[in-house]
Amino acid sequence: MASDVIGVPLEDALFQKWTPVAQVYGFDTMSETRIDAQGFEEQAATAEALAARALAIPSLSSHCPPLPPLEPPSCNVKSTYSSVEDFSNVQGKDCWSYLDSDGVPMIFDAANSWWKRNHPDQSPFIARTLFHPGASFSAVRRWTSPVDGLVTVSGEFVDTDPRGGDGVDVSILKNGNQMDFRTIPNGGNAVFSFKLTMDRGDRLDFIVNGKAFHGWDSTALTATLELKPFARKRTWTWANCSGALVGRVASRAFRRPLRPDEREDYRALYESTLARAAAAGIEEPVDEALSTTLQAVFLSPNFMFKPELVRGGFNPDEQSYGVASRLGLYFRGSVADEPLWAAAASGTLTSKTVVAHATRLANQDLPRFAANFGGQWLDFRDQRATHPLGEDMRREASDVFVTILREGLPAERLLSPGFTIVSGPLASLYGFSGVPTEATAARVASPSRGGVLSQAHFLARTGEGSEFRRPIHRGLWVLSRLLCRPLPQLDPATLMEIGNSFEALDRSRPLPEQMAKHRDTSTRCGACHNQIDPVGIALEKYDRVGRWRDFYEDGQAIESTLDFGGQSVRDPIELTSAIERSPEFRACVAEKLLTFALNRSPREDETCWKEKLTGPITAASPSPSPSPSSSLRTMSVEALVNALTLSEASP
Amino acid sequence: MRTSRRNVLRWMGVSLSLPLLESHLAQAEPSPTRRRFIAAYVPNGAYMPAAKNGDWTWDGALKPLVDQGLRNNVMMVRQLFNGFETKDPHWQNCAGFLSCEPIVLGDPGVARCGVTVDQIVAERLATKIPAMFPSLEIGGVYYHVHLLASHAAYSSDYLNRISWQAPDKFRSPIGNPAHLFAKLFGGQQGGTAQIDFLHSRKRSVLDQLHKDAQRLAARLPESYRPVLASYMETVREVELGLSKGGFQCQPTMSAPRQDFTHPNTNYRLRFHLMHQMLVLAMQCGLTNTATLMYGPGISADLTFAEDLGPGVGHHTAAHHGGTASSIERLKAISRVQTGLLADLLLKLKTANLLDSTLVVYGSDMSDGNVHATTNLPTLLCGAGTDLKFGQEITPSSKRPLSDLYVETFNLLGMTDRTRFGSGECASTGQPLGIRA
Repeated sequence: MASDVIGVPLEDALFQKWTPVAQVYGFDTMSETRIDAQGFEEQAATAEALAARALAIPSLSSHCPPLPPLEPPSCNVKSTYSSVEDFSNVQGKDCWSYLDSDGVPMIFDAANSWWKRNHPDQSPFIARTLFHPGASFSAVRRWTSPVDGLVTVSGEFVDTDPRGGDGVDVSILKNGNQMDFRTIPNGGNAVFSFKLTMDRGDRLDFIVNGKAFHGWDSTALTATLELKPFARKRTWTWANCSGALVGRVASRAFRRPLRPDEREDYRALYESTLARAAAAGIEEPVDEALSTTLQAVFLSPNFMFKPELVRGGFNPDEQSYGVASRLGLYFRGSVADEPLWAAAASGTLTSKTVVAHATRLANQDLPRFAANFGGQWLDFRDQRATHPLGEDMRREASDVFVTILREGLPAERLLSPGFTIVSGPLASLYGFSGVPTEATAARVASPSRGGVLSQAHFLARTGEGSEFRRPIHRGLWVLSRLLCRPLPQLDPATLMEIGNSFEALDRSRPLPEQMAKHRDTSTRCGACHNQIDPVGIALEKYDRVGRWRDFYEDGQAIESTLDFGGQSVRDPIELTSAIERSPEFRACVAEKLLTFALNRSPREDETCWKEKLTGPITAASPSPSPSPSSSLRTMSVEALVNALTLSEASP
Repeated sequence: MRTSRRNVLRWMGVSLSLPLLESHLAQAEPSPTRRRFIAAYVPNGAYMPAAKNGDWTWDGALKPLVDQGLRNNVMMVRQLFNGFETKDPHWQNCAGFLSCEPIVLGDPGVARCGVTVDQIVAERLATKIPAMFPSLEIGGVYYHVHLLASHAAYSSDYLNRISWQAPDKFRSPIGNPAHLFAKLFGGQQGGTAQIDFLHSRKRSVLDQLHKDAQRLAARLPESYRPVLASYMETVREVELGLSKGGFQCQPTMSAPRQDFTHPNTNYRLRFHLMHQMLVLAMQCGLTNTATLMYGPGISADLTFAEDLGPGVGHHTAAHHGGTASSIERLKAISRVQTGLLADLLLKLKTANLLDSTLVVYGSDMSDGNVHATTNLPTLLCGAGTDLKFGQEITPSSKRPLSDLYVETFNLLGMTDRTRFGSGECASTGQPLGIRA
């Protein structure tokens, strides 16, 4: 979701500790959860990283004043330069260079520790403190600004040799233009202090000239330059740049335009941070102010919670944004896309166009919807691999689900699609021939595989652990996921019985027989196991990773004589067709979709919608879907459209 | 009240027999010798078929402790139960491990349990011994998505937290040793002006969030307010934390840099480092109370593969169904966990803190295979001849876990805390017989 808010892909790792993606009724699309101080700290760090990421996106600041080109400093950047302390035998060190008045670099005379001309007339020289002009050339100490900035220049020239001579002329030039000029009498001095802005590469020359006579003209210079580099973004203001940037990110994050009081708050937060950052000497105060403001956006309850799901959460004039957001959350697991946003903004998101948008999103964001809804419902979003082929198995479950949505097939086909999509290794696990080993997603027609109950993803995840656990786990999964059938809670008396029944088991007997004994121990046990066991035992034809088998390892035949809802379910094929035909399954699909759309369980008085969903689609609902009746995709659109009216109608 | 009077008498007895004990004479109120508390939690129980002792013996699951010479610092307390009939113990006895109060089901967005022992102890200790962090919560793994659709009404918050400061206010554990290091010892870099700026920056963000939450709360129906109120409380708590200072601790270790992103990577190292930091923090007086979650409730993801080789997750092994390989795995997992406890106790001992610390170690279940909640595997650890360390205490009948917590309060000098837990988990007021 955050990646849609700022408009770039973000890696999952960034959200490892992001709390608001919560856990409601089996679907975590969006919800409210609590956050404590520890969680908040982690989240604040994530929000800061998000803000930094947002600032690096050029399109978000394309409306802002252009920035000066980013160049490396031309020499060492310091806050203070000193003509005396920085003196060295290297040209350019600490931005100082030593020239004659023709601009020719001097050379260092190590014997005297001074700079002099590389010429027979060596009279001008520059030592650590002293300057001396020559007969026809003067000496120039040059400081070149490494970056753009404000420079405060202060210091003093002193004619240090009062024994003779006629004094000196001293001057300071910026890029050849005179900033200061003084005539110093013999033995006199000149104090200077001024500020100027300098661009990168601008030159500041300190020059001593002899007057009529250059003897006794040794002149000391102590110059201190304080450099405050300019921030690159100093031209960015709230009005010409930052306000719109924050507004853009925050409105997507809050899924509605910013309200005037919020905009004013963020402006105040921005301006005060900007001023404090500049005062604290932060290098780029605008970035600091922007990232602070965006951090406040990403941590806001308006982003973390979803007020549009609650009456009063959005203003009446924001309702169309609320609907757009509901559509976005449901189909995209994220914020509204641009067409939805535009429709909300122009007030054209009416009950009629909602269906069209929903249908559009059901196509456009089909993989996202499949991953969020299907992946949570049928567990294929969970990437924990429990088997070396775990990822291949997960891909099969996901690909089949996507294909059923894409091809407009009805929900029952989830159980028997007639095809599957497998990798080479998975095909060989299933015993298919003709799929090359290196295939990653080969579509294969198959009457027996591809359905949820025959997918290795489900079978291997539930096949782990003890012999007993497998059929029970598989049965429970089918009851809760495919039939929405609640089972009684385990009370201590039942638990006690379960414990005792384990001790009474004769482990040399076949598993179904042991389970029958377990089941028949009492009515208490039977209450659940009469439902769980027929399903779990029918699926015993699959081993713990999902391979077909007719015998247990010890050679005993696998057979079941149990009934389920009055139908014989001796093997997975009979079980599949029993579930496929049961109205319970169709109602369960509807219930899962509604739960996902409502972000809560449908209430008792809302269950009539479930039946509506399972029936053929009404003629009143325009749908360009290729399927004539209730395809899973059409059902998904209907569920959302119904959920919108449901939550509007309820308090 | 009975318990309380007995304790007052006991203190008088100590004073009479050791009249020159300066630390006691110097203070108006006698301070307990034990003034630190740690609770450690493991999920899914141990191999204890039908809730009998099973592998929970000195030469079974507790062998790592015995091997480290810690037997005389560990007391086995049998016959304890915890939990509420209608609540699945995976959730109930994780969130309720230290509160013995029922969790509230229905809306998974709103988690509610009871105030926990560690928080009560922390609050009391903080009034006597100032500490930078009244309590520390340490863990390793979070669930961010709801685990089982069949348990729709059960919030994952119940699996992630054993510390509750208020019925509606859990305290999340820190999972990454590097984060714990930064919290305990990490000073901010930069000059004073920059640190001041960073503080003011944080504060102004928090002010804004507070404003947002207040505005939002005003718009939403009553039923929504608790969530926002708790959000605001959190913001305020973080704000308070910003202004706290004055505690200094120089760590004798460097910041951990290993990879802790996956729960099974560096599992043991994670807790060894956390133990080291916790003991340092206690030595420095940064904290006196802590909880440790060696895994979240259920711990489906934890395989202990680093120690035991590849295999099924903890939860799957616990539902062993009598299968030998799962049972062996479960036993081995128990030993890895008691090995962690041994590491903690050794570090406390080396730092001379064990005399003044009480450690409770326990689980949500005994026999995880059938979710049994009687005869819970529970240990009380510490040092001192006044308690029956090194022994096995078996009360004559089944007793609530809350009875152990009342004893704990007593041993920490909180003699006014004579009752704990509610409903079927309420304490009985009877001693467990843990005193020598």
